Amino acid sequence: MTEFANLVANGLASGCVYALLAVGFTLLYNVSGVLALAQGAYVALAILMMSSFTGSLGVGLAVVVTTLVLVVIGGLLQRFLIVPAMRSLSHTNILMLMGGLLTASEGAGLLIWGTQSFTMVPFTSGNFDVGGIVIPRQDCWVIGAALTCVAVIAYLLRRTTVGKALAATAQDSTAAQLMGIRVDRMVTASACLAAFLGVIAGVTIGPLTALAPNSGAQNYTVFGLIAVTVGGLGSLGGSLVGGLALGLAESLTVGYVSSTFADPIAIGVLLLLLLFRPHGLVGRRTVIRSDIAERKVGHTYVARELPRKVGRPLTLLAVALVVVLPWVVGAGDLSALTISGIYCIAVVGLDACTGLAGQVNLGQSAFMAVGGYTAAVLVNKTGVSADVALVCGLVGAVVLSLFIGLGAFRLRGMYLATATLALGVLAVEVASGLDVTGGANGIAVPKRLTIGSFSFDTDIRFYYLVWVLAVVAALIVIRIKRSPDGLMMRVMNADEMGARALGADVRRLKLLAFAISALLGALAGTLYGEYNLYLSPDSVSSALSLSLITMVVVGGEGSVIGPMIAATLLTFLPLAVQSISTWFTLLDGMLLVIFLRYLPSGLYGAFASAVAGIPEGLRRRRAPSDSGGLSAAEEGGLVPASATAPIVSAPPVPTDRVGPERVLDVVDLSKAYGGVAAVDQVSFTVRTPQIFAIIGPNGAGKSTLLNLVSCCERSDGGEVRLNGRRVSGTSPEAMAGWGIVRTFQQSRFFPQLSVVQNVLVGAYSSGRVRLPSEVAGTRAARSASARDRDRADALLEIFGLSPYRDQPPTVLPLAHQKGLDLARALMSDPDLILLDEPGAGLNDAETEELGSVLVALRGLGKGIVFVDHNMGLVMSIADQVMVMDAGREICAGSPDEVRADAKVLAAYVGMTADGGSAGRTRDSGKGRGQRVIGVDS
Amino acid sequence: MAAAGAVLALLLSACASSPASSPASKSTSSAAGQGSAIVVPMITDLSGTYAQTGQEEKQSVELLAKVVNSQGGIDGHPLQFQFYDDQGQASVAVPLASKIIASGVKAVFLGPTVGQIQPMVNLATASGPLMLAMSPGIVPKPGGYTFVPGQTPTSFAQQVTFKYFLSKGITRVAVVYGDDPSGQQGLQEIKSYANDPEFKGKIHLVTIQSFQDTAVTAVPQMDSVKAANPQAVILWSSGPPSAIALKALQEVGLTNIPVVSTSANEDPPYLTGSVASVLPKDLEFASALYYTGTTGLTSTEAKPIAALQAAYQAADAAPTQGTSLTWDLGLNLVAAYKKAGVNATAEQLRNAMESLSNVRGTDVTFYNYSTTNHLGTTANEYRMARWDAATKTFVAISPLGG
Repeated sequence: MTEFANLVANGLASGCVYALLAVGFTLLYNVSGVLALAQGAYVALAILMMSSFTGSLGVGLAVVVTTLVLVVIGGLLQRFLIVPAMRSLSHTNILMLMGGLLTASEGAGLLIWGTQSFTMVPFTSGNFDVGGIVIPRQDCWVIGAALTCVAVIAYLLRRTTVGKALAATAQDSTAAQLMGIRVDRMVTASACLAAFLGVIAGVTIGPLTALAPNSGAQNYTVFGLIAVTVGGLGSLGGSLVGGLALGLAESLTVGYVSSTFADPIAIGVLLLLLLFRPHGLVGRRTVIRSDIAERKVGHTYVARELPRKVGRPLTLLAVALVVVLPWVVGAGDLSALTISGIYCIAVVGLDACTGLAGQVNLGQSAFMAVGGYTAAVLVNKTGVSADVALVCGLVGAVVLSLFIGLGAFRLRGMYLATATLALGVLAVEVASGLDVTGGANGIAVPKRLTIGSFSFDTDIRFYYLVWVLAVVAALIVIRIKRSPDGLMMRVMNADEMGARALGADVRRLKLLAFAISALLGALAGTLYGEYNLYLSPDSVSSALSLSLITMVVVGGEGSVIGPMIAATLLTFLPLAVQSISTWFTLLDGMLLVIFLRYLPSGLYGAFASAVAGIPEGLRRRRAPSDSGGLSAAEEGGLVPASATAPIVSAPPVPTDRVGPERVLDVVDLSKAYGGVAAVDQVSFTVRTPQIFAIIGPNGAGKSTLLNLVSCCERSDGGEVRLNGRRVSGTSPEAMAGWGIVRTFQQSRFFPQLSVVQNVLVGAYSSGRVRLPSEVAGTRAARSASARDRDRADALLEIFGLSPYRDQPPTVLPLAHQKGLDLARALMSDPDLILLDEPGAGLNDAETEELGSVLVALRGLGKGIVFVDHNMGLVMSIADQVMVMDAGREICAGSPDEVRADAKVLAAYVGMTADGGSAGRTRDSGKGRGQRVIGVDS
Repeated sequence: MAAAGAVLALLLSACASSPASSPASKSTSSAAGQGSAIVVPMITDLSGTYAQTGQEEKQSVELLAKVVNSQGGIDGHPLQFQFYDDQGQASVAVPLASKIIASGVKAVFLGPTVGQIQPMVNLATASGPLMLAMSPGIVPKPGGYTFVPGQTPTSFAQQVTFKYFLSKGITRVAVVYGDDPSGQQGLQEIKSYANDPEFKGKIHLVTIQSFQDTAVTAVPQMDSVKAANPQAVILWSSGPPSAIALKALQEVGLTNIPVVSTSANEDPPYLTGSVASVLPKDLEFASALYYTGTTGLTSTEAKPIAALQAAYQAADAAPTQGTSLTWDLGLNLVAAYKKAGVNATAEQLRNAMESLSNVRGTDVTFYNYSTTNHLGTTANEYRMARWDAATKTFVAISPLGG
């Protein structure tokens, strides 16, 4: 019993250490929405500085100096690096940038403090002994610091003006800015506070531990990250609970299960928690409207492609070099080239997963470990041939990838990053702990691959094997990138809901991305083991995963070729900088930071942009040949000037303004957010051809209704029927497959695709050639591709987008962005189109052209449901209008009937039918209200 | 585009032949005569997690070269070392080793951990070179080119420790090891000796605990140790992780029983540094010879130890057990060169190493590669010593062999 009590007591004390590490993460996450991976650096630097200063300055002054230095560093980094980066980078890239800072801090530690381990003298020595339960006095400092920090931060955030400003910044930085809060200052202040928390953690934890300057920071980050994730991101109480849970789990596992597997078990628990309760033990699930949940803070940078006339000769030259190099370089360079090739295979897989599909994978080394160790163990223990072992390793990794892919359905962004990082750590821990893998000493790989009677047993043969596989892997991934699935992966990268609305089965695409990553990672791991005839946990550590990420970022995310170039360069770099090798850790971290901050599309992207004549950072300029706005639809249908037939192929049935076919029935549809009814028992019917408009004041529930109808969100009640078939509860991709497409309130173009590619992705739901055919380049695939391109070009012409065909969509003026949305929607030749505020931001001429397009579409037999505030547009083209207010339908009928309805007037101007006030003050004056709904137009 | 990368890579690789630092012994080469230098590369961690060990290895052979060259070098040829930093990564170590091997060197020093050394050892061809490996995790193949200095000192240490325990009536022993290559190997050896007929049933391993080298604390493990009520603890971990374990021992109040640790911690700078405040009262090691003085040795046997200590004293530094092992491996290489001739091939050098007997060392009294199959020494060359914090010296507490 005493043993149990001691384990619990010490577990709780250790838990307070982890909680203290976690509080800093929570504070910054709450304010900036970013997981500050560099937090561990402040803790480590505080310990090192305290160790250095205490002797000469005494503890008190050492604490003051350490605090000042680190808080200033934290503030400066936040103000001049992180805050600007947050405006331009996605959260995932910010996470990588933080990882770079963490590595750089360890490099700086190595240069300043060397390699000796450091410890601090305890403030108080001795132990408390309470009935046999021993608690070191120094632990009391940690426990006190953890509890005090949680209490003070909670008070600060909830009770003080500054805290409320910080909380407001966390909730919505734009709104906070509009309210006069200096958001940048708030974020910088929170960084200073987080650095201060790091100092407190370092000062109190330091006497309990020992630290190597060049490796300690990552440990603190990992344990803090686990604690904060277990507790719940963003919850101060969660930090405490998560830390204590981690400490207890570790202590009891050591006491009663196995000390060897204490950490793997803790990481396993973390992974399960992430999968089944991603908001942690204490954190609360936040419900956000799905059509805005996908908006990202910054941009996802995917390097543009080189023009074929430049890319093809360079590729041929590169292949020629690969063939010739072994005969002109020495053995050392051949070895480095072989290892480069192996890393190229791994980064091509990682790029497909992270760069193309946007599935953050910080654990690529785990796939390498699974492949390499499976093959090595099988060859060693069962005597199977190396080729059979290789295949088994690949299968094992793909099975693991399915597990991760399934997790990716539930996890995104930072949660997925944490899960994959944990997987990488877990793989190394397991490999180190098992006898069958040779433990930390590693395992010998007795032989290299043999195919038939041909053995790759010489270095030259193995070099060619590696590079042939690397080139084939790159070609396959490039083919996938250019296929409809690849395009859709890039869409998913930027906007998952946008991809689903276009008919993408994102589960399948995520599985595909992880499977490619795993397959190539496992292949690289196996080749690495076979090349060295040996594999150890060090060879496939988490540090390698971070290095592979660096290669992808430096090379250019999503470019496939760029990461290969970076892999080659960064494999040679340590050999080339032998004379300054102690600087390499710092250099490694700084490379990641510099590229993410100043060259986010990487070496390849910068080169491709230079070739294309569009310098980095100037992509938002207007194109010179701007024809302005939507082009008017041709009379009688949508016909490009260069074509003779309508591009939208439905047979024209333009005789009746209201068609006879019921295509969509919405019955008593309801949806509430936290007790507030956004949509309350709304019913309506849409026929084809017909233009059905939904209007209402802001907050009436119009967009939510479209989300429910398009199955972007699940309803709480009621049903949606499509051609008599119940479809509510299905998915947006299923709806797209049934011929219903939608646009969103904010124009959703995909910046990493060109304008024509933005249109091409619209064809995704209208029948595709299978991916293997696309990769193989079969005649059917080529034919389908040509057909889609013709159609896309025609639509570009219709909407006046042809001059921008190969430009990034960021150059488009607003009217063209709206046109792009419509063109993409029409690519799949849908039966019913749901448009969310297509006229927002358009001038009168552009609005008129939009109206013409919609009328033309109706003329082609299409059903159109659209939400808009432009009453002129609505009243001039709609066949039926439904008015909503506070989630309910208040009126429906023809435009004339709606104009005459008193309830509508009241909803818009806050007046009852008899002229009295309805208690709404949204607008002033009846006359203005009438103008709003077009009575006097 | 890939072509540009490859060209750049080539340009970079052209720079890659320059070593991490300049040859060590130029300053003393005048005393070595006019012969061309015998250049021996060393590939080790000069940065990265185990940089401290790598730096110690580098300093050891630098000082050895000074001593050798001041005495005329090897048959008039100065000894030079060139240093290459593998940064703790096999992906850097292997190309470096490939390049160095291809340049036709006869011998190369490899350190410090098995993760980098093993793939480099695998690069040896039928014609060499001599691979002088400085990790306890490396097991040389008979007839191969790999040699170690008193290989598996871990094994010998456990043997000596177990004998010592028996002599002191200690039968209940707790084992705590760091989950790294050295720790895992230590555990294997400990388990092996616990099952050896000489000790089986006499010494009981009452609990075995491990902790990760990334751990922030090891208190839970020490709680379990305390609950097992051992008479002694074997702590097989080095560097910062061992300091964490020592802190945890102190925290749970286990400071009054003997703690035997790995010789990697048998390092005065480490023990007198910030870790001094958490050391147990009775910290013991299966000790290297030079630490415990020259008592009982002849003046000839004591001479190498005096040379080592003088060299370090002149450099205002202190030798460690690890550096003395590296030093000794260098002494053995010098002996092999003298035996085979400075123009010997790697194969001839290997044969010369295999035939070495009774080469006087600093870590142990004698090296006998002729009888120990590339291992160099036996357990009889070690003895137990206790760290005396007051005098900052090691005090022998057992005869050689335990």
